[in-house]
Amino acid sequence: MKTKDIKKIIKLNIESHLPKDAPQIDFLFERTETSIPNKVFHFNFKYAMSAVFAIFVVILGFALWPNNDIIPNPPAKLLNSNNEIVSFSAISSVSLLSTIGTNELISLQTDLVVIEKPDVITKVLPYLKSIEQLLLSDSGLNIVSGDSELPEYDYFMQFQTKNLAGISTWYVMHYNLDLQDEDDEESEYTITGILTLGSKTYHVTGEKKIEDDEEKVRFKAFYNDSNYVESLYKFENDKQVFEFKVIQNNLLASESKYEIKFEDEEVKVELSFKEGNNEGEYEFEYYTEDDIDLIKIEFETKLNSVNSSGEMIVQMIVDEITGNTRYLIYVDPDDGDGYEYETDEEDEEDEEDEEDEEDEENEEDEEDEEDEEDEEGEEDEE
Amino acid sequence: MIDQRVIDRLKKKDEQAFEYVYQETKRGVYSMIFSVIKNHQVTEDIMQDVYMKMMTTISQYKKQTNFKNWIITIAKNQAIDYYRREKRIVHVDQTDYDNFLSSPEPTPDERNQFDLMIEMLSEDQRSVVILKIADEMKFKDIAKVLEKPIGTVIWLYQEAIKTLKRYEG
Repeated sequence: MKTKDIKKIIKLNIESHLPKDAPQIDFLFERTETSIPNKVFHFNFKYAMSAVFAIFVVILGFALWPNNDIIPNPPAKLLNSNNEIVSFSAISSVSLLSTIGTNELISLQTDLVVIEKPDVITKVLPYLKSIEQLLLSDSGLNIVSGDSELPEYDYFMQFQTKNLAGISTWYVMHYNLDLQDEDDEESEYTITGILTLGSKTYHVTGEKKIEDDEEKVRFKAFYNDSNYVESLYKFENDKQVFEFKVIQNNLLASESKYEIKFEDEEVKVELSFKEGNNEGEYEFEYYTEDDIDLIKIEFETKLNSVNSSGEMIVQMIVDEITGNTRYLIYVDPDDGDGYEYETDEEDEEDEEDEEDEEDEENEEDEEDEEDEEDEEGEEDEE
Repeated sequence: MIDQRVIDRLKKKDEQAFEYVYQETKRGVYSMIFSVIKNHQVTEDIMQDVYMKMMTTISQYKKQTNFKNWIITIAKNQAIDYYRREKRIVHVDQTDYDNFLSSPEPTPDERNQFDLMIEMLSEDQRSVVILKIADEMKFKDIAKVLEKPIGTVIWLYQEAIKTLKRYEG
């Protein structure tokens, strides 16, 4: 049965039984129930003395502690090794590559194509996938490295990420590594290679440099020479920071920055972006409710000269038959009614095959697509 | 939209305000009760109790909170109280439908489909689906009324729709 038919039957049935008129209530009744007053706290001498004693013990403990010099722990980092930093740079850059909207790149776009979505969702979707992977990497990325089987490259690195549904994606990078040149004291290494995700391959370059005693890792993922994403990693103010530039037809299309906060094994990612006159800040946090994995996003944006702020909750839905995934996003703006949005399904296993078989699927799933369109239409109206 | 001015008038037992509040909230209240009781006749009876309770406890309503959520919570509690008192699930009797004549009337096929469909769902799924579809409540508000996390509510809705899609009526 189609979703729209389900909705029609339920709505019609309830509507047909709703009593039209309000119940007759005697408005002269006097009886009213009032709220029960809160319990009043009574001073208890025994409890007060216990509290004073406990505070005294704590203060004495600090005073007598042998190490009076408190040495701060080094700030915790989510991504600890060069491999992890390069891997995440690669994941994010490739994810952002799909947002480049030139005609020749349309075939490259997969899950992140967004049409007629509310602006606040359109702007965050290109970043959602990579930040989701980052949030779920609280124990680091699973990385395997070794010698490449490809003749053009010396090494390979394979890294695994997981999404909200627990589904793994493997990225494979084959690369050549040039270690520090004697003439270039600042550079530690440069890499050139290819990154493979499913059936797609991207050319990549990377470089680690020490600039002003600061470690910086630059990374680029190319569609071609004039369309690419450039990332810069640095560690500043006790935070790991990734900056991204999307270059489209040799012009800067957008700039964005991730700041990673990692405290007490919990990860928060702050995203800020600037795209022409549009700008925004989003803070992402992963959490679970009743064993359901969710991402909470607090946002403040200025899009098309309109300021807005609020909260989103993101859940991943998995089609139990196809295994395809889609995001269900609940948006709760501070100054308006909340609404829900579902993204299109994505096939993470083989995106290219999905495109090839698109016509066949269109015919087979015509009814389901109609359902989804109906739902989207209704959500938009809402 | 039920604002503080309407509630102040309700506290003064203003009949017009009562009528307005009833029209604004009846879908949610009915949906909530029906999802627990599954009987239209009994639902209407409990509805009367809910609005009576609303009037007697209006002084307990906290300002700046969502009034509709408040009254739907009363509806939920009244329905659960009734259910516990009866200690049995009241099954839908086909003759119940004949007591109600309002437009648009569902066809007999749609009635049967509806009964069979709601029997396929758990009580939680039923509450979420009926509140969402019949009253067009937001997931956030349903979560507050049912005292469940929003993620759970969204998941219940998705699972319920998935179950109902399998229905071959």
